[in-house]
Amino acid sequence: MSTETVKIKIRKNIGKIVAHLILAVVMIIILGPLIWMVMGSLKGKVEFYTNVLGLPKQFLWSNYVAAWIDAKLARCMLNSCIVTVSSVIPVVMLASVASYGFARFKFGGNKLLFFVVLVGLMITPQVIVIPLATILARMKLINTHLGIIFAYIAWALPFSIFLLRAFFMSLPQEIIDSAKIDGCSEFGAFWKIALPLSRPGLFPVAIFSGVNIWNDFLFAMIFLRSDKLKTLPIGLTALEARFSSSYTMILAGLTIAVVPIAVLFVIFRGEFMKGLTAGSLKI
Amino acid sequence: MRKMNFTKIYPYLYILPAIVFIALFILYPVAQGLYLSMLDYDPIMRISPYVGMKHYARVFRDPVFLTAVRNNFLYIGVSLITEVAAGLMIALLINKVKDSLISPSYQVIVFTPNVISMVAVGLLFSTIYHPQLGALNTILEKVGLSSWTRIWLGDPVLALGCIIVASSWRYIGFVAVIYFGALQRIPKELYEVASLDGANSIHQFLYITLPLLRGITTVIVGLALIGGFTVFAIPYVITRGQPYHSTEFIVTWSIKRAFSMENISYGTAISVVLLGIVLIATALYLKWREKEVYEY
Repeated sequence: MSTETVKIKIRKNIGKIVAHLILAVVMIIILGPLIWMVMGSLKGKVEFYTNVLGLPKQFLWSNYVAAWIDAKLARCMLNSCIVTVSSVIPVVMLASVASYGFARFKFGGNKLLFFVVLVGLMITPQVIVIPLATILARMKLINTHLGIIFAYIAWALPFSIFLLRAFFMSLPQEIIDSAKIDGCSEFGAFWKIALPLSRPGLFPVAIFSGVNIWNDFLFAMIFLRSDKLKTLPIGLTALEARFSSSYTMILAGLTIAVVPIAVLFVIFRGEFMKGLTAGSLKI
Repeated sequence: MRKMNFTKIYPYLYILPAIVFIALFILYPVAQGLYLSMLDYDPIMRISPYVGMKHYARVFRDPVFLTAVRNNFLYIGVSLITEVAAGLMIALLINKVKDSLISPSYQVIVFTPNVISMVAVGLLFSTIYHPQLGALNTILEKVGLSSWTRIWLGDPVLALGCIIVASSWRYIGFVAVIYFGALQRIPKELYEVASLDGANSIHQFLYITLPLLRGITTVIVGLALIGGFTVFAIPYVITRGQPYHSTEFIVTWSIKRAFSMENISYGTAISVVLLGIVLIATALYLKWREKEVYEY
């Protein structure tokens, strides 16, 4: 290419080049804290004082070991897994069945009970956490996984039903009818036809509920008391209390907590972004 | 006879489990909360005399509560402007280069803070803000701006700003991805026709892009309103309300009073007031926005 052509090319694309440059700066700002977190987590205490911004001179993996064991992060992660999976599966099941019912059956109380669901949507967890704590205490479910799982399921249901109902309403009646003509029972039509077709809606529901439950702090802090049951976010605050001035340990613990979900996100990035912004684009 | 009755209740079987959960763990707590807030629960004497609106009267005269409300409003206002402006700008930039290979990575990177828990974000930023060990003061010193270094979390005003920065860091990507999706749905023909009619890119932006993004902006602002009033984890983890309750937020104050300060009824009253605030704000907002959606 002659210099003339190059010059013309640059002039044409100057907008895009500038955009890339600005975006590069943005990416550095966004990733900055995370990179600092990882770098700091590998430094020794002294090096952290003296070399705050540079790359670690050696990789002190022992920080990770200390954080993992002392702050019981292994247990916390296990608890988070248990609680999240045990909440998301019922949510998906109950929400899909309920949404199908709202979407495809005419019955007295359809509108009223769906309004109940919408009301549930408006009531954010921060408003009910205190009375819910007393209710769970009365049911002897405080400081149990079962109790917090119930709370999470109830929290996730309204939004999930809201999303999935729209999905089921968009199914053409002919598909259901032809299934029934072929001998399907009413529930069979749901289970074998409608449900598989709603898979594009089930994933966002699962991701939305799952990620938010995994990251939840409020319910976990109030409803779970003993070390054996704590979930990851609580484990992080315990980490901070335990290591208060050893920032290298804290950063190591943070990295341990952040890496799994970040890795999952990178792998399933499409589903994550769709799921977590779900509903915003549909409303 | 039996069959007809079964057909009638059949649909209810689908929705009943979900409704039971919602009624038991969402609606019942609301009723219970209203009831609790009108008692004076004394854990030591184990009595709960009825006191009517005593707690509510106190709430509206509580200086910490009023500080908290102020903080929530500031939080909503500042982070909304930041997130919408920056998020939109980022979305536009990514949209401009969306044909390049690297553009999907931009979306992933900018969205990453959003999948991390608020606690982790709060902790990470509180380490960044540390006066001696934190990245912020160190960077300032390295570039010669040591006069700008502060004890960030010790100053009431700065600490609030720090909380907002941490929160914005988490949500800018969320806003950007939503705007990017919305930008994709604007038909290209509109821009082409406008070009032919002589509109330059600024005109196109002001008269095509912005108006057509109004709908999605409504959603974003609505979410920010509700989220802003109910924010809890990030302020709690970064400052716990220090110094001297200057960075207290409605939810942190309600939780503190209910659990650490053993005043469950008062804390519940605050949360009921919060519910009222959220409902009113949402209703007002929806009413205000009703008239402004463009179809295309």
